Amino acid sequence: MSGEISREEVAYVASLARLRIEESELDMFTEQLSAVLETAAALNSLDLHDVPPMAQPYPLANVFRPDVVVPSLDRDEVLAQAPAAEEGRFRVPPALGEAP
Amino acid sequence: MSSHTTAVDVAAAVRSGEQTAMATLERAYEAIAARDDEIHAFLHLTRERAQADAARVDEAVAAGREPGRLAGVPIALKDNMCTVGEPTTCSSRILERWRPPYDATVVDRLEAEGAVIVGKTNLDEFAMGSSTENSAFGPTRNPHDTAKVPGGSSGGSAAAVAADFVPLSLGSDTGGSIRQPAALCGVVGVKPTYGAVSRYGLVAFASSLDQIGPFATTVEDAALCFDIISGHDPLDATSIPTPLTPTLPTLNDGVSGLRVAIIDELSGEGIDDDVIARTEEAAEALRDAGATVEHVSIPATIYGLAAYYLIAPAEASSNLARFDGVRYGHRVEGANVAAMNVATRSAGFGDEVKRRIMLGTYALSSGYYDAYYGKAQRVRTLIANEFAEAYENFDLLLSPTSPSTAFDVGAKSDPMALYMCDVCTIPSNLAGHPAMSVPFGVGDDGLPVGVQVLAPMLGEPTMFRAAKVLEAAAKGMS
Amino acid sequence: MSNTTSDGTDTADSVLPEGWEMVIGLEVHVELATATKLFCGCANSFGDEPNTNICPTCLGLPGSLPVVNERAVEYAMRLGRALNCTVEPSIFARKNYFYPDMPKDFQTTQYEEPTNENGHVVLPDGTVVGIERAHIEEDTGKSTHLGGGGRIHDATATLVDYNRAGVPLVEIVSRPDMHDAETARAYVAELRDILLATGVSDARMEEGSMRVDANVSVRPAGSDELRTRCEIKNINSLRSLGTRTADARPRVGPRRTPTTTATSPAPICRRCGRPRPTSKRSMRRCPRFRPPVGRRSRLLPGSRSPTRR
Repeated sequence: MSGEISREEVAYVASLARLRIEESELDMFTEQLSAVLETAAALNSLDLHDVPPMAQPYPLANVFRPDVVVPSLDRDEVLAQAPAAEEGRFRVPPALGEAP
Repeated sequence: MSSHTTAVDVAAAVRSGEQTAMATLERAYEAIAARDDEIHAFLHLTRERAQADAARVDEAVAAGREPGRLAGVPIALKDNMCTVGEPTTCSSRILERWRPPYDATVVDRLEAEGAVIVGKTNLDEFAMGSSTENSAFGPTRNPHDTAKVPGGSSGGSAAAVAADFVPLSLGSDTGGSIRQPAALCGVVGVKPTYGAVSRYGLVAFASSLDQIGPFATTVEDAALCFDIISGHDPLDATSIPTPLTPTLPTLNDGVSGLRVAIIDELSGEGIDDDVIARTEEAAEALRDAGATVEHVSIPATIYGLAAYYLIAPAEASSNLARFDGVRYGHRVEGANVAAMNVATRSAGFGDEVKRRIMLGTYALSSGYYDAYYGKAQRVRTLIANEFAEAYENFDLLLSPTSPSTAFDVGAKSDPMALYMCDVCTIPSNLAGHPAMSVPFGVGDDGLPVGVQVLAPMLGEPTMFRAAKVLEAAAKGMS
Repeated sequence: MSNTTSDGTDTADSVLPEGWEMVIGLEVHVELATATKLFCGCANSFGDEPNTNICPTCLGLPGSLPVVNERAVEYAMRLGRALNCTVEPSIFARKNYFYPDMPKDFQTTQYEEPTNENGHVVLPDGTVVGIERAHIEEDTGKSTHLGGGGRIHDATATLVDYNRAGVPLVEIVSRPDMHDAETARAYVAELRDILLATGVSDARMEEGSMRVDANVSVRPAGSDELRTRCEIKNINSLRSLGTRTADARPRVGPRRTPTTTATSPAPICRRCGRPRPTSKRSMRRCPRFRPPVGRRSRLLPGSRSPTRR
């Protein structure tokens, strides 16, 4: 796998992450991300097919909480921190299209 | 009061009635006022809360009630830990005015033992960095030489202790963000075993790597703080469920008979000569105290940097998605919610955060997942396995903490150069083992050097014992 | 266009030419009747004042962490057994995408290792409908659109209530084993009976505790191809299940299903901005599906809960 990333790919992942990268910055970010990915290419020399992935250093199973109600936050306190609120709800510009 | 007043000494003095928590607090604020303009360790001082904390302690002492093992001790918290009603900005514009409606678990535990929360400290934005230069609110300076960086990302917490503003502070460590600034600032810094300290209330950067830990001027203070903040938390499903062995009771047990090894791959190429020299002197000190010190090769550690710079950004890209301008924090309006998200995040995040989010998104994306993130997770297993093998033959491992002493503010503008600062610290985050930095002499430039003691999972008691021996030996150095 | 009678049953099989059949798969989301949400202790309650059942975790506040509701797992496993599924150790995963009703802008769900797999339901007439999986996931908040008569496209603003965010859901995915609207209706009715009998949900479509989405396509009768499909979301009553699947057929009728593009605009995946994958297998290639971070909740069937005596 090549360690480099193209300008188009940078623009694409930026849009996936809801970030706008200005034209003037695109080259800089592309170069920087390429450099990191080139370092990552060092991993390609390793034979890892027998090595399972590790998601957590201290594996735990069945960590639960009882199904018992706990007091909720005060709505006014929470909405006071909201950029915009109306009728007890968070207000945002229209959400185009349906949720997936 | 001498200028090096430890947490242990302060607590003893307050408990005995020799000094009040309020007076101790006032002196801390005076020290901060005298020098923090220059250092910029603090982003905000939590005066009201601190006064309430101190008053509570003084009341308890006066009434003959137990005021706690940290009675009256002023403590600073990295500004990525939630403190109810107080700013918690993560040094980012996107949270510049956010005040959480809840406290982090570690804050509850400290206050329950009488600690006094004096303020929130500066960091690299969202804990991403090794110099605290990525803060949206200006860098922090190294108290030993204000032209130099304090290290990062917990630079503010390290500097607050190094400048004697407070005897104890908390930082967070994902790839070295406690240990590296501890080394650069000449203080003790501890990354606990993953799961030893609750992450509830710590703004997540990389959930499988993050841990909270203490900065202190003495190993004993760090041990006391660790014993207090660690332990199972039902609110953190990754916290270790079984009780942990306290580190204080065995702190002075020495290292006689312990088997230690220097990690070859972390003590050679890429590390400055003076730092290597200090590490070898530290090894000698342990030998003088009765430990055997050999060398061990852990080849997988050389892949740690590459694996980390895929895993951490990948997890961060998911954890930072919530900053979308909808529920809290900064918002830049838009014609529709997607446009608002883009405008908000673009204005609110700094370049390093954007870089890591993009890198992480790419590493997780379709077609690249197995090649990047998937592969990095396997390298992680490799590293953990090789460490486990090493720990079958050795009780502790040793290495430098940072490849160099503190560098100039502005000296390293290339992101890759900054990433290299973490080469010695990253492997323990990946494996989940504890590790700590202990000040051990100075470099050729007179700036502090830290040596790193590494231990197996839940090996903190042994780790602290070795640190105590090193601390004593370091005092004996010229 | 649609040949439906006034009670919603369809008589319109004749809309499909000889030799073609409808292929229907249903995705049913069921809210579990637990006292609290999936990952926090907020009340799981319908109809309360907006944003009164919220906490750092279900609001996705910075620093918050999830802890799994034991009863939600129990109910999901019970449901899985009632659906004749294999009940297995499972792992939560994150589905990353941006939408205002998602507090963390990712949904915690199950992907490669779901709780329940490979089950089936037998309908009263003997038809067997396969169940591909029934996995646990958290619900989103609820959006209301202001202006434009409540329709999204003309809205001036959206208001969000997070009371529902984090409510435990089981998503039951059927195999595409149904070939007419009547069977689809019977399947949903059977599921509802099972849900009520096992006590895991009150299954009220009108309150949203049971939501049905249909995937409809056509193919030559007797073949096993799966062609371009049309997705129908939020069918909110059994009666409309009949009408809407019938309506879907002209859109995916044989003249309009070459093996290339569909006629209706391909639904866009909100996660990646590309046309939606047409099968669960290809979802694996969707950019933002990833395993859990920092928390590996292995849910082992049959293990006794610490609270049981």
